[in-house]
Amino acid sequence: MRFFTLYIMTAAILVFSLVYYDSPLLEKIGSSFLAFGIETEQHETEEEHAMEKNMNVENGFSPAHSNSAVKVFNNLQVSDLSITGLTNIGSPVYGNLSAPITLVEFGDFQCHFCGRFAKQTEPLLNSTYFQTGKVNFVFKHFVTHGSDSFNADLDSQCANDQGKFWNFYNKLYLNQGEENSGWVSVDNLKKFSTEIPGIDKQKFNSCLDNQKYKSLVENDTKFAFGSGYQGTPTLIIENSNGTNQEVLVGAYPFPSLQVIIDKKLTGN
Amino acid sequence: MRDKKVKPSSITDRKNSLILSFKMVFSKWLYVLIAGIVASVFWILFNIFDQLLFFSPILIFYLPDDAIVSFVISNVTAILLGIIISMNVYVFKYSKQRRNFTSLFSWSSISVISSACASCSSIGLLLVTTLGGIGVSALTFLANYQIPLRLVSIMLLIWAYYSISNKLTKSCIINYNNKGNK
Repeated sequence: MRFFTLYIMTAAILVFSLVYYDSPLLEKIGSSFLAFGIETEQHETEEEHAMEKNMNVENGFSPAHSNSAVKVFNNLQVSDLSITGLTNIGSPVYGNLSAPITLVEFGDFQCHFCGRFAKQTEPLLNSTYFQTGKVNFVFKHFVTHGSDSFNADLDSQCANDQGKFWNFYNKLYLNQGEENSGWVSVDNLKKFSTEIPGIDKQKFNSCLDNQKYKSLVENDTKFAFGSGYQGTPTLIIENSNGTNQEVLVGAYPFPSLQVIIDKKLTGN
Repeated sequence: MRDKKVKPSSITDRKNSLILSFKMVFSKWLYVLIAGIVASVFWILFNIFDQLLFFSPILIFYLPDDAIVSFVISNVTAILLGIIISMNVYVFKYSKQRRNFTSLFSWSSISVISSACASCSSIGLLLVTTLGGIGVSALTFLANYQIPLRLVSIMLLIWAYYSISNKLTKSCIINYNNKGNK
């Protein structure tokens, strides 16, 4: 009887897991179990393709950052997190600039939880809110994993110069390796850039070698530390004028963010 | 028949000793309850650190494909911790000889630390901000070797279970295979 109780307790833990399970992801997990251990290069390519399609790089949608590209944003301080302030300092923005809600991510390209957010939560946010023009998405740099992360951040900003930040964002998170193992070394980053169609390599390499966005990345990180953000990804959901901020630290699943965004959209 | 003596340290005896100690402890409701509570607390802790369980803004648990392996390992660790801590409490209560609790916690802490620091959690960031470059190295090590560290933790917990079982049954080594002893 006692052993039965012990068994019941273990089962209860599993039931608890299922009750609070994120049902939209259930199918995804099912397919992950099937794909577990037999992941192929083709699967990765398909995933990358799906992610890029999700970001609407291919279907004509114009990410807002393309409007603000090719400006010089060096040495500007992060003063506020309003969409106007963020675009003025050159932060990459995705989605409708006049959306009422802004989602700001303070992330590090080497952070696995940021990778999880990019792969699991962001695509659902994209199809539900970014594509529909209800929310825009801004990426801010928060270097927490050392110098390799700093390189990746510089690199992504150089890509942003040419309107390719979100391609780079996808590329890095889909190819994420072990922390500080050299997967985001300058050479590898240059290699990644060659895989992004339509990028001016010479301009990109020059931007990277000159560390054009060093101060922007440093200022973002300084701002994050100064604001007391406790980890990556730090997600800030706010009105687009920078007010009414809700700060979440962690790779929150879609339903958690959905609750906050919907509440803000309905004005409750 | 006398020549057919079974060695007291045979695998069967060890197996019997492990089962006997388990039965001995968990024949009492209190220890089942302690094990359940401890396992649940650690399960919650591990899943919070692994960013699988969130309490705010809504209570939600989700399991992305990159977390399946660590989820399985942390479940095993939580259950083992429940069992071992409960058995330690039993020994504390019924044995005159005192057990060294610190060793148990240092073993289990490997698992907790590796999952807490495994990446970008606030504890990891605390390491970076307080220890600078060394913090980054420590964080990188813990993150990159998270799975092996957790497996080491499980091995140590199994060892802890084995030694606590010995402790419980050592005072009266009974050879169940020898009919004369029954």
